[in-house]
Amino acid sequence: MTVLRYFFKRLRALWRPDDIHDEISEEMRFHIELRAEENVRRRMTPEEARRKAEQQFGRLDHIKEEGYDVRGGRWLEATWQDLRYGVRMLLKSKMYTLVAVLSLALGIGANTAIFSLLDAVLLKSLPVREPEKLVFFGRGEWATSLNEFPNRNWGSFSYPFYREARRLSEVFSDVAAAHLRSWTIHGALNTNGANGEQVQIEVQPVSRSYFSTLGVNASLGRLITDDDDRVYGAHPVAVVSHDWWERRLGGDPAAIGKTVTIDKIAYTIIGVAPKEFSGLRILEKQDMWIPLAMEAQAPPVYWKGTSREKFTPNPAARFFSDGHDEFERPGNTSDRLGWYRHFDQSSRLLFESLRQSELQYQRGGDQHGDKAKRKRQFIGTGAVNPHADQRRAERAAQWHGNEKITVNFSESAQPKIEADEIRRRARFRAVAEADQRGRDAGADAGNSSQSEGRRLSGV
Amino acid sequence: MAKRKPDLPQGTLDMLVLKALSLGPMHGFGIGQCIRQLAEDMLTVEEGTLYPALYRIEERGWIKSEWGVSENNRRARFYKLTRAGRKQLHVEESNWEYLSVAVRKILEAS
Repeated sequence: MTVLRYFFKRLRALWRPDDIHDEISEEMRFHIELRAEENVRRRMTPEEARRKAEQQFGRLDHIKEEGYDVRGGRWLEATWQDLRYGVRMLLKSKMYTLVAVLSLALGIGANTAIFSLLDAVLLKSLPVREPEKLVFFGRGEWATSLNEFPNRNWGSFSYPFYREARRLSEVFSDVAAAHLRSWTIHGALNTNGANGEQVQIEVQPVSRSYFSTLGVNASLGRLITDDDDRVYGAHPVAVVSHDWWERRLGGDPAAIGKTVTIDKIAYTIIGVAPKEFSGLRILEKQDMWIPLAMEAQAPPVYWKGTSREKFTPNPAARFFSDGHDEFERPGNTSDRLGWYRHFDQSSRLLFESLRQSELQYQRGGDQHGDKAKRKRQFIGTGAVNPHADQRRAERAAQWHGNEKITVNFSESAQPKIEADEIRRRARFRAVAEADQRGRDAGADAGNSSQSEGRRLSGV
Repeated sequence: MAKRKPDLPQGTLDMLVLKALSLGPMHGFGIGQCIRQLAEDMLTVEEGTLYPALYRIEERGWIKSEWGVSENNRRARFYKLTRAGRKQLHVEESNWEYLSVAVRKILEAS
């Protein structure tokens, strides 16, 4: 309280130094007048009374100055002097000043940058519905390797994988897929029917379930829905980002219905994504999303999923069909990002099922050369099914021979089974194999192996 | 009036000001008058010392001031004892009591 009052007084002195002087003067004047009146009562003439009063008062200026000092004025003046002195000194040794200012600037800049990054990576969550219930799969380093799914970073998944995961509705409320890499391509913004200027656009093909899975709503128009992703190559529609809409279309609501031509195909803009949403990963910035059904139509890759490291066109397309509800697509169309909504501990079941489907898919791929080894670019995400309960999780665990499996989904949505668990299972496998060998060799040897197996697996 | 009176010992003025204000809020001139009257004209407070003292005491938070209207309808700055000031007055009073007794004892020694 006292500190606060002190501070405000100082502040007042800083802003209105004249106020203090004026107040003191007024007070003095009042005093002198009273004194003069008193002198008049002592039968002095008014002039004499006043002169006398002023005399009695002593040195007025001196009082004023002292009052000013006490009431905070000195502080102001001293600060001003210090400031001037500081600047003078800094100007005197320019090199020193330069170094000091530079190091301060760098320090502040670096800290700001670090914080911005940390803020984006650690503190902010995706601008989607219930981000804590959304999980991603993988980052690509362990592409196509299913052996340790979901322990390793899975960066890419095949299209059937996505489709399969989507069918498992008991675990995920929905699954979405998108190409891992978005493409920077050129497209023409059409104005009045004529092709306009070519602009760079970050385009990402996404599955029909993309926006609904994320729980993102259009800020204008509508977003890609099931009907925009049914027939392969037949849905030239696009959702643009809020940022791009403002940048390229001037934030004009009439932009809905305009077209953007990318390689002869005119995509109709059907909607604008919300301002805060610009892609699946933080710091990602997409300009436009098109239905996955249009993947083969969009340059630069004319996606046929046929290259290993980089995308190259492959006109020899095959049709892949296994009778599921999604549209048919040519060739080995791997490389999607898939997200899985709704995840629980019983997802081991799902993993097994997905693993089987992926392995089957890989075996099929083997007949056509090296396609099975192809790099898959596919991110998965899902959210935990609110109806999945602990009991089912346990049943699932039992189903897998009492291997209790913990699946952790951290904030970064990386599924992980604890390293201990991995080691334990590896040991268990080794022991089981030894056990089997022992059984083959004879009853005695088998018994000892079994007991060893029990011991080890109990660790 | 022109008769020279002894100066107040250092720090005594503060106590007198607080004492005067303990009788009620008053302006600077009033404080001077009050002290003089209470001392039955044995003491006069110089304006040149009174006002700086007032500002100093206010800065310490023992009194606070605000503009008001004087008895003859003029704008005047009135000073008022704060709670801290009242406490300070008690402290200074007892200190003074103690000191004056001690000083008298010394002076009366023979």
